[in-house]
Amino acid sequence: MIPAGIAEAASLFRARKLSPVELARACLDRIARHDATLHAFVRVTEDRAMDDARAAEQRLMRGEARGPLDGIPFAHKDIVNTAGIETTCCSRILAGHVPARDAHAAKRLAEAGTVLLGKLTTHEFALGGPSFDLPTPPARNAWDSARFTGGSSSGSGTALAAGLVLGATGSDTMGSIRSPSVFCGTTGLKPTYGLVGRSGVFPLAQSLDHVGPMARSAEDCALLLESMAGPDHEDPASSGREAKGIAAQIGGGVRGLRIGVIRHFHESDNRGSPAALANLDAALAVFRDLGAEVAEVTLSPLAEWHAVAATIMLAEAHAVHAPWLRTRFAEYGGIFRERVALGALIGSEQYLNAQRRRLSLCAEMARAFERHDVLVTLAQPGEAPPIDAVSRWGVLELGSFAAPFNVTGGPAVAFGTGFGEGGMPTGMQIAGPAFADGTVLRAAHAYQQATGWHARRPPIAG
Amino acid sequence: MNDAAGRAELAARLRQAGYDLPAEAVADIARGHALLVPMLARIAPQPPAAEPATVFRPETAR
Repeated sequence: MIPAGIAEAASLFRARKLSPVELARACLDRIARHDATLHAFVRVTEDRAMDDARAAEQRLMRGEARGPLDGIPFAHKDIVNTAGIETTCCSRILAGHVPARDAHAAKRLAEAGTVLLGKLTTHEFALGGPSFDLPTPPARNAWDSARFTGGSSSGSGTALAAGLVLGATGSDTMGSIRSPSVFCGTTGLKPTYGLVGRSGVFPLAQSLDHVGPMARSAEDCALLLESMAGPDHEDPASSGREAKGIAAQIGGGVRGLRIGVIRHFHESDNRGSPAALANLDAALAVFRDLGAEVAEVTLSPLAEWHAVAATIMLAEAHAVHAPWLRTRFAEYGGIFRERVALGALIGSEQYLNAQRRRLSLCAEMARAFERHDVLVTLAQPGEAPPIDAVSRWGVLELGSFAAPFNVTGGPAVAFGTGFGEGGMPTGMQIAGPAFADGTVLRAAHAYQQATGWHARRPPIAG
Repeated sequence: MNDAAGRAELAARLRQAGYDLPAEAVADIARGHALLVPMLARIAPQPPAAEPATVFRPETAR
C-alpha cells in the first residue's frame, strides 16, 4: 500500500499502521513493475533504499523520528550530486561520474530521513530533450506512455504520478519543474531564487537556475521545501534564508487574497487550448468562492519575457559547456548540442541587453505585486503532446508561461486543474514576489483541498 | 541571401567560435538561428543607465 502523499505517509508511520521498510519495499516493487515502460529512473539504489528505510524505522520505533520526511521514499533528478552514486545528467559526457559529496539539497533531504530510491531521468543536462540518442531513453508520461512528460525534470514528474516515489527534486531554468508537474498532474514549486542552495547541482544557466521540490500536493511541497531551503555557503546566490513554518501555515486559506490574472499571456500572447482555458476559469471561480479577490493584470507581452529568458539561458549554458562542446560535440545528444552551440552566436552586447531588460521587467512585476498578492496564468498551453511530436526548437518558439518567473526569480507553483480533450492533465501556476513561497503554496493548497484534482492518479498508479 | 549562403555564413561564424561542424548540424542550428534572430530583436538596446546588470561589489564577493 502506497499512501497518497508525504503528509499521509508520515501520519501512517506515527500511527504504526505502515512502516518505512514496508513502504520502501512497495515502491521498489512498483518501480520493478512499471519502470520498463516509464523510464523514470536511470538508476535504482535498492540497497541504499532498504538501509535508509531500516534506519528510519528504528528511529520511529525509538520515538526519535527526525520529522515528517523521515522514512519517505524519495529520488533525485540526475543532475543532483549524490555521494557514491553515479550522477551523469543523462549524458555520455559525464559517464562514470561518481560524486564524492551530496549536493546541498540532497544532503539536507538525507539528514531529514528521506529514503533514497535512486536517480531520475532528466533531459540531457536539464535542457536537451526528449532525446532518443542518449545512453538512457526519455521518460514516458504515466497517464499515457505515448505522451511527453514535460521537462527537463521528466523522471521526477512521471515517477510521482505513477506512485513510484512520494517526493523528488527538480530544477527549473525555464520551467523544468513546472512543465512536468502540469503534464503529469503532480505539483511542483520553483522556489524563490537562492532559497534552495544549488551547490552540487549541475548548472544550466546560473542566473536563472532554481532547485525545488516536486510532489503530489502543495502541502507535500511545503514539507520538502522546509527541509531543502537554507544557507548554502558554496552557492554565491544563496539567500541564506530558511523556510521554516511554511507547512504549518499552509491551511490558512485564501480569504482576502488578491489574485491578479495575467490573462493576455494565455488568451492572446500564447493562446491556451479550450480545455486548459476553461479549467483555469473554473479554478478562478473556486478561488472567488473561497473568498479571494480576482482581478486582471497587464504586463509586457509574454514574448519579451521569453526572449530575455531564452537569450540569457542559451548564453550562460554555452559558457558552461563550451570547453566540452568544442572538443566532444558528437558525444552530446543532438538536441542539446545544437541548442547550446547556438549560444555561441549570442554576443556580449546582446547578453547584457537581456540582463538589463530583465531588470526593467523585474521592476514591472514588482509594481504588479504592489496591487496583488499572487499572479496566475496557465503553466502550459494545453495537454502533453505525443512524445515524438515535441518540437526540437520549442525552447525558442512560442512564449513560455514559466519564463517570466525565472526572469524575476519569484516563487511559482504549478499543478493540475483537471483534464483536457485528450484525457491528459491541464494545469495552472500561481506566482508570488520574492520569498512569498508560503503564500503561493497556501493558495495552491486551498485550491487542491477544494477540488481534489491533485488526488487523481493514472491507472498505472493502481 | 539564399539558404546555402546563409548556412555558409553561419558555419563560418560557428568556426570562428571554435566549432567546425558537419553540414547536417549546421543546417539544424540554422533552423534555431532563424528563431533566435527575431527573438534577439525583441530586446531593444537598453540604456547604460540600466547598469545594475553589471554592478560588481567587491565587499560582497564570497
